[in-house]
Amino acid sequence: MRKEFGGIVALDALSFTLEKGTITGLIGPNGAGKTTAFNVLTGFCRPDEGSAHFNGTGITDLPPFKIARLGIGRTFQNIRIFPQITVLENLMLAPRGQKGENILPALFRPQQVETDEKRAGEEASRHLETVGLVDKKDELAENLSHGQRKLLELARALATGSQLLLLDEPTAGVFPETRNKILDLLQALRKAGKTILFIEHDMNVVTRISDTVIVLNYGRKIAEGPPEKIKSNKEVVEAYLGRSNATT
Amino acid sequence: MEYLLHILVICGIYSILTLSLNLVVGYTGLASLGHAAFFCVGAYISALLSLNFGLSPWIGLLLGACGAAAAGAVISVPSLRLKGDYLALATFGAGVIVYQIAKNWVSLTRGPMGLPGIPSFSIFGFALDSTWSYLILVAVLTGVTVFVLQRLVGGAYGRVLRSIRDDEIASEALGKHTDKYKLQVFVVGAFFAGIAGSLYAHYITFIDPSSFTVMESITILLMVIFGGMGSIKGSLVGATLLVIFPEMLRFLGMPSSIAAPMRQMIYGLLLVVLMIRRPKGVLGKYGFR
Repeated sequence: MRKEFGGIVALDALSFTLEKGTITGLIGPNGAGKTTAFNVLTGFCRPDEGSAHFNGTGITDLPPFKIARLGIGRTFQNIRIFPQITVLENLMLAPRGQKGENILPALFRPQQVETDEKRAGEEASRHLETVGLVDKKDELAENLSHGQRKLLELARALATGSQLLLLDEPTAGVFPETRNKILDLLQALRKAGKTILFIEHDMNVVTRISDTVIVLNYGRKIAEGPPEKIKSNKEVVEAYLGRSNATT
Repeated sequence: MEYLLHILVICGIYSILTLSLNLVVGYTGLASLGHAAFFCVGAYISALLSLNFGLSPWIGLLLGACGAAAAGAVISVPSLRLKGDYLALATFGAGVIVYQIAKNWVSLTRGPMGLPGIPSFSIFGFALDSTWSYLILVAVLTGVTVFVLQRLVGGAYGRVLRSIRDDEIASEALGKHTDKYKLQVFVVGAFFAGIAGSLYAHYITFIDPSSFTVMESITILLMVIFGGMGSIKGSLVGATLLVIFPEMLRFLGMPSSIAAPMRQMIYGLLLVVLMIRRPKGVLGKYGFR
């Protein structure tokens, strides 16, 4: 894929494949194009050249909501929860295909909507238990701490039942305790057959859970492989630390 | 007594307007500043159908509401691409356009001369021209509006609306077709504003463009904000209080020539005070962000 913004090349012939049931880390210095890659993959941004496919379906020209419905879930770098609704309601928005979300059933099938709501509420509570937020379920999301918001956003992405999860810095700015909780969660997801691509700056985190690591710099992929190989890759070290610091 | 009934009828009509705008602004977070346009379309279609074609006001009510809904669909288009202030200006502009059409398409609307002699509603041959009977009609339709709105906003549908309000991008990322919802709330909101328009036309029996100015849109918005965004009870309270409050000026011995502009000044002052002290309004749950 290629993406330019004005004169700046955000993505330059970037190409990669994700295998089902793996965790891939996407790393690179600030401005390397990681979030742009996410935006292209989730339909918030259209590439100038190239295409993306998910399970054989072309997704390059689809709007974000259609891509989400195909089974791709996402979290955002600066956390996007719904602040003025409750934690539980944040979760209840996740499941796909809720009939009550359409105008005709809302108007003409209130009993069915109510039954679905009850079930959705129970399921949402279960997801909240998984991340340890269930006792906050009636709080407005804006009252949560940063770490709790991260957990909420993650739980919400999980609750969508997405096959592929694109997580933008899932452990940024959280306590070590919360970080471990999140990492355990991700590993459990991999075991369940989900595929994860996550952006991360903390090399320890990346090394700990990634099967593969992709390194971007100036919009280009400069390395790809298992974490150990990446750490000792000269070009990667240079990209992060600068040429004069590179060790041979 | 007659006077009190009259005030209640006006409260009812404005309640419907406030409820319908609350759906768009309060629950979905769309800055719609031209709601009077739908009020206007409903009123004029209903009036013209009964005056020019002798159709029953009930048909005028239905077709007026549908016409307003169509206008809502058209005006919703900018909302799909514009945000916040830009959308506010676009809807404001739409309100101005509709007002100007009403004022200048003289061959159709008689412009500033207005449409006099609009017939009242009647049921089974009995004309509803006593204030009492009209109040019952308005109360029933207000009840219908509340009922429909509650169905929409009370469950999963309303939750999606609120998610669009809070963070449209996140809502899309969860698979919600946000454009569809924005179109729907504009259409539903406009439909009920059209109903209010028809009720107004057949009650006052005379309409002219001056009832449907930009100031009117602002007044309805004020009622939404004052009563509380995202609260059905709030809309009823807001509309009622803001209709009644200026009427009380009469009892302070103010001559009506001063009372009218005084009313607008009070509204303006109220808006400023609200924004500073209590942006959530009387019963509101959501503030601006």
